[in-house]
Amino acid sequence: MFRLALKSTLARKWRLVSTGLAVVLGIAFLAGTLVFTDTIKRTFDDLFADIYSETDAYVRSSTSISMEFGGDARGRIPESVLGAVAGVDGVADAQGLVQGFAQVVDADGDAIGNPGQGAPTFAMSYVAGALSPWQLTEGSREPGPGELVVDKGTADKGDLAIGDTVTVLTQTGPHQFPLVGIARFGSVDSPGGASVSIFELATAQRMLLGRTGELDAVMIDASAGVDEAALATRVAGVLPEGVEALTGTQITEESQDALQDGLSFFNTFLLVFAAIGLVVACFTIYNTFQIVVTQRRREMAMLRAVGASRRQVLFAQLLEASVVGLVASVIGLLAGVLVAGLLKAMMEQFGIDIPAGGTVLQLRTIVVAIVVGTLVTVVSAVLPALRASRIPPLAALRDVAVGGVEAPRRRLLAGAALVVGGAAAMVVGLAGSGVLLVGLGALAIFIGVFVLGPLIARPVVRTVGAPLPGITGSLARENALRNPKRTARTGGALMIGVALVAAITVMSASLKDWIRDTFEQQFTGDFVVATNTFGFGGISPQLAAELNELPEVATASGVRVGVARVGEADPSDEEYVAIDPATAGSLFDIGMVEGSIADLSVDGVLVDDDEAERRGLGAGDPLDFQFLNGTSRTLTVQGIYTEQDMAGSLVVSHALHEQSGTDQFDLSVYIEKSSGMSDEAAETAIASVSDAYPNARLQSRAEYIDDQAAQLDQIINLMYGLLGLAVVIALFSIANSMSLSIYERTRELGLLRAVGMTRRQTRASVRWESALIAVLGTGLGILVGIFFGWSMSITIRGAGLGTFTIPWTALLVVVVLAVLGGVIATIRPARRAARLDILHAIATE
Amino acid sequence: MTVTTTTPAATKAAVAARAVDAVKVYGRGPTEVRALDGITIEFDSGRLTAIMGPSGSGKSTLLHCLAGLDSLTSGKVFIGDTDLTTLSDKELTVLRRDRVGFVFQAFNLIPTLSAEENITLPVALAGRRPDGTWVSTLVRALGISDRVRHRPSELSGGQQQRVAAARAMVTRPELIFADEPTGNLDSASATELLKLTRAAVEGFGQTVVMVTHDPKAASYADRVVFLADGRIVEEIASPTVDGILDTLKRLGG
Repeated sequence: MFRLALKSTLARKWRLVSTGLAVVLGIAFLAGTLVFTDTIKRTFDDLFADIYSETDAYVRSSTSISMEFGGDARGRIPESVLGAVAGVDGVADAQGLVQGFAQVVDADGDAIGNPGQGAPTFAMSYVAGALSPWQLTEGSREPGPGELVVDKGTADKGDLAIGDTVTVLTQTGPHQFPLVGIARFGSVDSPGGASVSIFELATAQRMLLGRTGELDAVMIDASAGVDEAALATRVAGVLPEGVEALTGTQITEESQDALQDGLSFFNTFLLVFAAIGLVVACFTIYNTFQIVVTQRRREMAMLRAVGASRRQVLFAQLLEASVVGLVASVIGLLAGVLVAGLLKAMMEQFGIDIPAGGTVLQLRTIVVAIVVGTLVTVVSAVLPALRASRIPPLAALRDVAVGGVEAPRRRLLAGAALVVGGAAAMVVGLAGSGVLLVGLGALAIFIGVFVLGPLIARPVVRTVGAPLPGITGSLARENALRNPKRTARTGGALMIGVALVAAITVMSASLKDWIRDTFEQQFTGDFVVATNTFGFGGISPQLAAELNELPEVATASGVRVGVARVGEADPSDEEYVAIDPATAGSLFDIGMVEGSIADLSVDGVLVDDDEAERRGLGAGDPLDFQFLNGTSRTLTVQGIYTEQDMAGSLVVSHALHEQSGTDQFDLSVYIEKSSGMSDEAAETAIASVSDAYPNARLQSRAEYIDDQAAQLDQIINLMYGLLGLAVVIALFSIANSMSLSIYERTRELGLLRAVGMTRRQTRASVRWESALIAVLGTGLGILVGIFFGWSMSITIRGAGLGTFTIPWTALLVVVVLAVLGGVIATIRPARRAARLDILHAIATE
Repeated sequence: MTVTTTTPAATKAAVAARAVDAVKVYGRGPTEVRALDGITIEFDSGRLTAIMGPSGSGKSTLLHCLAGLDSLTSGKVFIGDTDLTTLSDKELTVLRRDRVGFVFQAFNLIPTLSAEENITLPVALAGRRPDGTWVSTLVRALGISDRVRHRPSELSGGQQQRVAAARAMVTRPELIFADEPTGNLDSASATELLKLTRAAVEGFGQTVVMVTHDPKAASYADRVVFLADGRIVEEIASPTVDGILDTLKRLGG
């Protein structure tokens, strides 16, 4: 029986290929994701290992506060530590390190790098000797006071050459330096794609901090034969309070782990899409096996008639599925290596430049890809295989019945229960942010609609197909109607893909409207000088100061962000927004219900009403803050506000933020022009100042609001791209199903051709049929997608059930594209139908 | 029909179709089979011609080549004055649709279409409106008026073949090709269909070429042509069942 099953499997190689393609794609994406993230991780692991290769001990502040989007902010240490450490026995070399946000301006006057989305841009002090990770290129020299060295990647990107005068933007404003060197980082042009400017220590301190006397870290090289752990302990002995010593191994591992954390979010994000692709593949495989079992009904019955047991028939089916799954997984795994490259290219397309060298194929990836791929295929084949095993031996003698829908009432109840239950699970999951519950709910809805499909297929196809022209149209319609279960199943896979695309479309439209509303209400000024750095640096506060000098400007107010450990008993790490109380009041309306922005003092904090309620705070209550430089302060709640979209949950003054030990960067500077001033005059005046800061963009209020809404596009487009995979897999369902249908109808097609159907008409008929199937799947998908989009939108906005937008035009585009996809997927089957050898077809028993 | 020539038996009617030195070879080298080995034959208009012969004699191949379903290796076939060997697939398709009709042994109908839709299929494929009077004349003549709304699965075998016959005649084709049309029918249904075919030939002047194994079926023809090994070996006019059986016996069939 085993050999028989295997033989019968191999005899149908081509069908296996088309069945397996869905799995190949799903697994290729899964494997590709794993390879891609493993490769990124390896690249950075090597990078950190390089950076700290000669570092045996590392001294830094022990104060760190975690940031909302991963990573820690850390305080600085007094420069005097360097002297103390250098005197410790066993220290061969100790060098101070200072680093901070900076951006190099290229030969054309544009800032290099996109720190909000790609690799960071920063400046650091030059480390010399064995500790140095830098290799100066020919003609370069180490930076002296007031001189600049950049990494080779930056020099190439910015078209910079030794001898040029180069502008670097830092916390203290734009500065010009002679470029005296270009350095490679170990063996690569730049560390992980970052753009780095390198200064002599004191210059770095003045440029980055605006003062000397502070360091970020001390890097220590041990004398020969000194153990790094022993050295770190000895060094720790001379350190003041608030300063700690790590071994070189510890700092390397910590950096690698931090990156791993950052990467895991990204990894999960991609894996979600791989999972979606595999779910769609499940539906596709299920459908294909169902059709195949129907077509081979006689063969199975014959096997049963000659003595095969049910178990043997079941086993034969599952064996076939296993072979398909295994082969497809292996091919998928190999294709995954290519997909990893594609993913990198796709990320770059969307502005996320990730360094990844070499290709890392871990054993784990191989095992996961093959196990998941085989399992997915076998699980999808279980139901069809069970059905095959239940075919009675007598069926061999009977004609194949063409399927109606049995037990419609039971189907209706089961389907409705799944849809309602799934919707409930999704809503509950969204409300309580239970991601798994949301996913399971969505899956239940998909299966429910899948179950209901055959009931819906008949009326939908009849209605939608009614206007199809001519005999080709009516043949297509009747063919789509002849087996509503198959039609519904085939469209079902597409339904999933389209539902997710539609959900994202609805959600992004709703979010954009919400973003617009928010900024329109809460920002009342005329212009913005904006960056998209998301808190990783920004614009020097110098700019706001210069703008406030202009007669054309009434108020210019920078907004900064920082982190602090907040609360007394059970402190938590929180992000806060820092504003200038004197100017912000006239630019923002954040719904103050108690106190006022203008009255915020250096000892005060404004709290969002939800946050206040959570912490049980009212105006006048104390709230403890601990900052990066280790200082702790008890602030007074000086006001409560209701709108947290721009302001976050805590607002403090610039004056306080400046005492926190954090670098001062305005994320954006918001501007109100002087009264009576024309927009043009104001803009010209502002531009004359802001042009010196090429990392910032001057925008009118309307442009700024558009830009904020448009920031969603990047992630949305990325999600469209990733969902494209699910849609393509779904199209395989249509292609497979149509191929099998055409095979089934060989004689019919032969007859039609014999009595005068042209090849063109044959193709048209097949295309119309697949278009009808696609319309069914797409229509259901749009409905489900609107529900998903609605529930996600209202959850994110949390502002009532009606606050969402249905972008009809965009959804229409989705429908048209999906139906077009369905038609394109049928090109090959349609051509096969048209090329059919008529004599052979009418002779087919 | 106004022009009549002298001898009634030898009425030199127009030729509906003919084959000239038709050769069809399947395969190559040692496995080569000459299905048609130089056949020249004419089929007169308004006549029912039966083609008989043992399996492998080339009778179905001849029918398929005459009908534009298959192509010759050499020689020529004509429907009316049209040389089929010069036509493209598209032109052959249109010829099959508009100028000839088919009745096969089985599987003549599209299961998703009603009897009426099956009958008018060639007209619909041509994008024309069916001639309602002609269709109702046909269904009445074939005795299926009350079955036209039914799907093929709801019809008996005999009814299905009569629907197929109506389909074959719906475009008023120059020629109908029937390949064992009674092969799957019980004898009562077969007789019924053959009588109707005869009536069509006499009543409507329809030309029919029919391949059959069955001497009784062939006895309805005006002329029976016998094939063996791809050649015409015998021919009888106004055949009787006994005459056909004798000929078959003589030919060793």
